Amino acid sequence: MQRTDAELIRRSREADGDAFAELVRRYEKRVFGIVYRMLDDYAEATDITQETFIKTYTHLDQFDDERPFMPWLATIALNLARNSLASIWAKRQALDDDLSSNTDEFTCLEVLDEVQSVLSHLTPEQREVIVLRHISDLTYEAIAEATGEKVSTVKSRLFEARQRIKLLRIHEEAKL
Amino acid sequence: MMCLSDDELQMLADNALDKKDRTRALSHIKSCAHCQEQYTQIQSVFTFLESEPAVNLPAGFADAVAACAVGKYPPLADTRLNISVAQPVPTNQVRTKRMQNRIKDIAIAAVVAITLSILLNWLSSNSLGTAVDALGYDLDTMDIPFAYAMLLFTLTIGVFVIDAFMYRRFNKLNIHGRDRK
Repeated sequence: MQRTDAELIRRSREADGDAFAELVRRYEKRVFGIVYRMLDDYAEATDITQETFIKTYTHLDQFDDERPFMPWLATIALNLARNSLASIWAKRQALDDDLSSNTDEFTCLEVLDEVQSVLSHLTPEQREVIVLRHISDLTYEAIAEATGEKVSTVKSRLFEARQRIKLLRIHEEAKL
Repeated sequence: MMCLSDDELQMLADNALDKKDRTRALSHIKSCAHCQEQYTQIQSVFTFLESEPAVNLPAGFADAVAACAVGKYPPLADTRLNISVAQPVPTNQVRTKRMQNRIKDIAIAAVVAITLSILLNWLSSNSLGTAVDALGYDLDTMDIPFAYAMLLFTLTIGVFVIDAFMYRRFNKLNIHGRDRK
């Protein structure tokens, strides 16, 4: 029988490594999804995902057992990803400058999937709400809590982002 | 029935409408080609966005992270145990401990003050005193009440400094049950 989140959290607080590993397995894809879609950098996303779970473990005693686990986890992941964004952009800018004269190497760095390519055209705020809604499956209220925005702001950002994605996809299809 | 607004269509796709509004919206979509097309477009964006990344975490990630977290940091249970077990220290014990600390501080301050007074005395009677005089400190003219005042001043400052340090440490240990890193 599958153990509940509450049980796994309780056992993790008692330093049960297996219980914590099961908790990580349960959420790793979604956390990695948030971070990877936000940063578009595999190595950094893996590091931040690891950091998210370690931070989660060290702060488990602060988690309110009455509330769902994913929004709390998503908030930690989002904050760490935000902190990492600035350094990623600086690194990428330097790399772009280096590769500007070498097109062969640049081709190797093309984004791996279409979603990532589309997300790169959104503002960081739009990207956040899209990632939290579609990768983490959070409600409007949970997204508002994670981003520190109003529910109405979340809804309008989601709408704008989806409209933009729709247009970008139409544009991409027209090019083919 | 009027066509669904953008907000309603989005909320329907996000499963954020209540049961009654959801039923109403779905029945409208069945009979309205325009809303049906809009809804299909939103759903296609959803399907697109929810496709999995082309890359995955390395195999064994969960076990490695759990081992790192549990091994690297002290067991949470122990920390919680320390906090919950730590009982409030009885007031009389606190007073005794403070008194002991204060006596210890006074003793240390006295040693410092006596050492300073011996040094002062030596400077005034030694040739070094001339050098000190040259700097503007006329030690020969210091009278006894002034020397005592200086001694008392040094003693008081010493007691305050050491007491503040000792009290803070004692207080910190008892609040958290252990030294924090």
